[in-house]
Amino acid sequence: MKSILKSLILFMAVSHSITAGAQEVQPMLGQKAPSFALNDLDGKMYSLEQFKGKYIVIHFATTWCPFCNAEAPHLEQLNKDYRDKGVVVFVVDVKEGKELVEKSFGRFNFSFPVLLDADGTVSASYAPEGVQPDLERHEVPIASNLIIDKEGRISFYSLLNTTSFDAKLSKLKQKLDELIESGI
Amino acid sequence: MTRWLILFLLYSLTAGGQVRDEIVKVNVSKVIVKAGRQSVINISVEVKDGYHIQANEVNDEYIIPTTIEIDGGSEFIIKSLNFPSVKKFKLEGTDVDLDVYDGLFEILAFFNSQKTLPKDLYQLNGALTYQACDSIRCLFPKTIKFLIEIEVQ
Repeated sequence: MKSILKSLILFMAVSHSITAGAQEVQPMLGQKAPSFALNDLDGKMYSLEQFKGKYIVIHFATTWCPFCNAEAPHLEQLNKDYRDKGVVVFVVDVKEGKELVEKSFGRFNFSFPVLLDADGTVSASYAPEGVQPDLERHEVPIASNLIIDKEGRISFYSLLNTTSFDAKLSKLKQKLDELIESGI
Repeated sequence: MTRWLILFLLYSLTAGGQVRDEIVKVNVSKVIVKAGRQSVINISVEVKDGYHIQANEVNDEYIIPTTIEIDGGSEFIIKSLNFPSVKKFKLEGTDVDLDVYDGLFEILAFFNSQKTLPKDLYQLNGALTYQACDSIRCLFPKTIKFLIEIEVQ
């Protein structure tokens, strides 16, 4: 009887860890983040390389994306809370005109750069191979958040998060705190 | 050979009045009307399970609404479009409630036909523009084109 009970407990523990793991599956973790050089709304160029040694938070967005707009105030708050902790934040707008982006994102008063990925190339480079093959590659990362660590590797990617929408970026902040604490 | 291929592709696109992409399926039944009378085009839209599309009237100017365009030519005048009641989609962790459509629903297009129209089968071009999201991500806006058959008796 005891052995049956033990087996049952073991089975439940394994099942739980598999389920929890499935919810937390993130693509491209540990991979070198695809490099890019993009202009912000003022025409200033930013590249990943110039921020080596910092934690970089990237949010892929469009002006019409309700998730992106709902996250925007929380992203701004995150920037304020973490910019003195070696964190830089970018929004990468995908395939939209400067004027529209300026007008739409102007209402959020971002204190960090909004970069224009005018042809979607950068967004496409962040689309994990084989994920959502029915979509155009530049579509895949929209509304996703990433953290790139000090060495330029992807250490958080919300793309395949199967749990509900995380407007307050709580999981991203949790991961940022872990990284900052560990110094990686 | 090329001509047959084109004909086959056209048939595949329009067979049964149904067209679809990855997210949305549009189905339009043939309408029968007498010349000079009013009638209605019934556009049946089915959104893939797990997705929703924005409503026709949205409360944020940057959200892309669902719209229908119908080219009635000189023979038919589109008088009004009737969209279904919206559903609310709450963005978790926020106070944002989006107005959306999901599942199977109908859009009605009321039209007048010209009095002098000869009895015939007419084909109108229609287009549905929508922007879809699932529970955590959004897709680029798309336009799906379809044909409407109107038989004037």
